[in-house]
Amino acid sequence: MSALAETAAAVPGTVARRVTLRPGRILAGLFLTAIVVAALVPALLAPQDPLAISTDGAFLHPGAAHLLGTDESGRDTLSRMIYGARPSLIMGLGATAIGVAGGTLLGLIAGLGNRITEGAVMRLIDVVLSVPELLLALVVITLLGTGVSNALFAVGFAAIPAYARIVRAQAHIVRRATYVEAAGTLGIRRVTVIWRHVLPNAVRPVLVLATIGIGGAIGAGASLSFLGLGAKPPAAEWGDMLSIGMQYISNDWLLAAIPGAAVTLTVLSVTVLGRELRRRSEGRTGR
Amino acid sequence: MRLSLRLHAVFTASAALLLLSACGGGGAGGAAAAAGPPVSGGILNLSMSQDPLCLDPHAISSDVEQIFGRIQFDNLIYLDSKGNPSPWLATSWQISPDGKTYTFRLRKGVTFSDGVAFNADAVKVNFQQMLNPATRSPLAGPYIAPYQYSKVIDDDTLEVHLSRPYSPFLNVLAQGWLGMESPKAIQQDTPAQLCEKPIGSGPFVLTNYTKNQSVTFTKRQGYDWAPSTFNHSGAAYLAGINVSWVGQDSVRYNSLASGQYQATGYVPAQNAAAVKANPNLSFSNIDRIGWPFALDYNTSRAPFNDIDLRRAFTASLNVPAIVQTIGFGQRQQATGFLDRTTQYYDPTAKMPGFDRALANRLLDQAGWTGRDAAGYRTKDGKELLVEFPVTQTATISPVYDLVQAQAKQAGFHVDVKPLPLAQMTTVRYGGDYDLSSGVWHTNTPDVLYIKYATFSIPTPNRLGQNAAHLSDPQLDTWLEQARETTDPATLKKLYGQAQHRLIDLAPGVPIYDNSVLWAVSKSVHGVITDTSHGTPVFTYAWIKE
Repeated sequence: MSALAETAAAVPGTVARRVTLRPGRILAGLFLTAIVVAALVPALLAPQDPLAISTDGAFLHPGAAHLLGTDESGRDTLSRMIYGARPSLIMGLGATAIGVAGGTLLGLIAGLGNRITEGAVMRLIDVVLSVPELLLALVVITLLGTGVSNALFAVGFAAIPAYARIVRAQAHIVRRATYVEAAGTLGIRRVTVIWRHVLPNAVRPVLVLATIGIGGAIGAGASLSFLGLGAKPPAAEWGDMLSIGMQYISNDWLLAAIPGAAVTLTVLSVTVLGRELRRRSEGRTGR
Repeated sequence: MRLSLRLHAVFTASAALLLLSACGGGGAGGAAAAAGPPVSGGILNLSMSQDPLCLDPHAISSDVEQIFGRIQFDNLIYLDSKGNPSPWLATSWQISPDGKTYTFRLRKGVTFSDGVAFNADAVKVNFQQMLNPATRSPLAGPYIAPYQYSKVIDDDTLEVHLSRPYSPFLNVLAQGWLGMESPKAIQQDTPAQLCEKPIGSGPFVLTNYTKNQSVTFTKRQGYDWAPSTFNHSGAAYLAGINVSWVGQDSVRYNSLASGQYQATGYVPAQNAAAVKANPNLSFSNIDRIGWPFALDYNTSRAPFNDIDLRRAFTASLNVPAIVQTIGFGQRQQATGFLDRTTQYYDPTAKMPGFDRALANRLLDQAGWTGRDAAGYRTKDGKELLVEFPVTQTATISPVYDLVQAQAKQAGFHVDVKPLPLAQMTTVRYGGDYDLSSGVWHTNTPDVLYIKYATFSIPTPNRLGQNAAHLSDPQLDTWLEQARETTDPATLKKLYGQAQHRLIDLAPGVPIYDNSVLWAVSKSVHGVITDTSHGTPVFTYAWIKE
C-alpha cells in the first residue's frame, strides 16, 4: 500500500496534491468491498473447508495447495481468513447498531426530558464513561458469559455512553430550532415532533461517527476473541486466529501476521472511509 | 527413540548418573568437566508459567510446587533413582507387620528458616495441618487420607498410625506438596498468611512474593540436610533464585532464548526443537510417573454409560496422529492407563488402535443409524451429542479441535465448551459432562486408585479424581489390595491385572505420556532431575559463564 502511495506522490504538479490521498481511499474501498463479499459468500471464495483438519499437513508454508499456508491443525489459513470476515463484520455492524440505538434512546431521553431525568441519565452515563470501553465490555462478558453474541452485546453496550452524549447535545440544539418550535405551535403531538423532526436531525451526525465506530468495534471484538472471550474455537475468527498464531510465532510467524494484518487493514479502511464521510458531512453543514 | 533412551537413562541408571547429570544440567557431562569446580554466588533467573496465587504447598495442587517444594522445603522421604523411598529428613523407618504403623527416626540438627527446630512434634503438626479442613488441602491432605494420629516417642522418633494399610504412604511423602513447614508458622499464621509466606527448612528462603509478578528466594546459610542421594552436602551455591511468572508461551520461549532467564520450568512443546538446537541451552524432556494425558468418559450417564459407545469413540480417534500434531515430536503416545515410567507399568495392557470401521459398526449396532443435516448420527431423532467442557484459556489446546474433527467422522457431535475456571470446577465435580481431559501426576502406581476407585468418585463433599465415575468392584478389590502390600511380586500382579481390566472397561482414551519440558542455560551447572516429579532441582546448581 505504501508503495502505491509513493507512486502517486511521484505524479508531478498540482494533480499530485489532490491525488495523494485518493489511492488510500480507493484501496480502502477495494479492501472493504473484498471483505464484504467474503462475508456474504465465503463459500464462493474459500478454496477449502475452514474447519477441515489434516494431522500431517500442519504448519505448511504458503504454496500452490495452500496460498497462505496451514495452521497448527493443518487447516487452510486462506479459507479461515475468508470465513473470518463475516464474524468480524457482524461484530462491527451489530455492536455499533446496539451502541447507536441505545445511545440515541438515552440521549433523547436526556436531551428532551426535564432537568431531573436529564441529570439522572447523564450522571449515570458519566459514571459508565469513566470506565474504559474495553474494560466495560469485559465486565459485561464476566456477567453474561463468553460467546460471540455476548461479546457483540458487550462491545455494543460499552459504546452506548459516547453516542448518548452526542445525541443529547444534538437534541439540545434541535429542540430549540425554529422548525421544532413551529411544529409545536402548530399543535402537532410531541411524540410526532420527536419522531419526525428531532430524531432525524439529532442522529445524522451520530451516523457519520458510527461509521468510524464500526472499525473500533471490529477491533474490540477481535480483542475479546484474542483473549478467548469471544468466538469459540475452532470457528474461523481473526482475533482467535491471532491469539493462537501468537503461541506459534516462533514456528511460523505468518499465523499471527495474517490475521493481525487483516484486523488492522479492516479497521484502517473503515476509519479512512468514515473520516472521509465525516469530512464531507461537516463540509456541507459548515456552508 | 531418542526420547525413550533418554528416559531410560534418567530413570533406571544408578546414583552415578544422578551425579553426572548433577554436573551437566541434564546430561552434558563433557561440558561440566570443562566448567571446573562449583562457584558460589550469583542469582538464577527462572521463568515459570502460572502463579498459583498461594505458595503454601499443603494448600495447593499447582505443579509449581514440584519445583518450589525443592527450593524452599525438605521432605521426610526422597525417592532413589529406582523410585524406591530413601532417607531425607527421616533417616530410617519401620513398618509394622499389619502395615498400619510407621515409626520414623528423624534427622537431628535440622532447623526451619525461622529458627524453630525440626523434630517429631513438627512432623505431627504438619500432618495435622494437611488434614485440617481449614487448610482445604487439595492434594497433600488426600494423599495421606488414611492418616489417623501420631505419637511423639521422643524428639527424633515419631510413630504414625494409619486407619488402614496404605503402601504408597512413603512415596507420597516425597512429593513437593508434602514438604515440611515450620510448626510455629502453621500454628500462628492464618491460611492466607501461610499462602503469602510459608516457612520451610529448605536450601532457599522465600524473601519476597508479589502475586502474578515475581518470587524471590535467598540462599539459606547453614543448610546441610539435602537427600543423601544428591551425594552433596552443605548450603546452596546460588545466592538466590528470582522467579517470574511468564504466562504466554511465545514470551516464555523468547525470553529464555534471549538470555533474560537462565532457566524455565515450562518449555512450550512447539519451541522444544528450537531450544534443543540452541547452543546456549540444555533441554530436558522427562517422562513422569502417573496417569497420562487422557480423556475421561463420564460413565455415569448417556451416551458413555454404554461401553460400546465408549469403544466406538475410542476407535474413532487416530491417537498417533493427534500426538504427532500436538506434540511437536516431544510426546510419546500413551499405551495404557499408566505412564511408562511408573512402577509396575504393564506394556501388555495396550489400548486398541484407531479403527473407524469398528466405530461405525458399533454405533450402527447401538441403533445410532440416522444422520442429521450436519452429518452427526441420530437415534430416535436425538443427536449423538458429547458435551466436552474445557477450561477457558486465551488459547485452547488444539487437541480438542482434533478430537472433535476425528470423532465427527464417525458421527459424534463433540461440543467443546470453554468455561471459566470456577464454573469448570463446578461442572467437573457435579459430573455435568460427557468427556473431560487432563493428566494426573503422582509418584506411585496408586494413581489408578486415585483415578478409578469407586471411593474416588467426586461427591459434593469430596473432590475425587474419578472423573470417569467408574465403579467396578473387581477393580476396586485389586486396587485396595495393592494398598495393603509392599511385596513387589504381589504389587506387580495386582497392578498388572488392574491395567488389563481398565483396557476392558474403556473408561477413557490415554493420549500421550505426561512429560515435563524444561531448559537451563549452559552456564548453569549442577542441576539435578527430581526423582518424584522429573523437574529441575537447584539445590546444588551454580553459575559460571
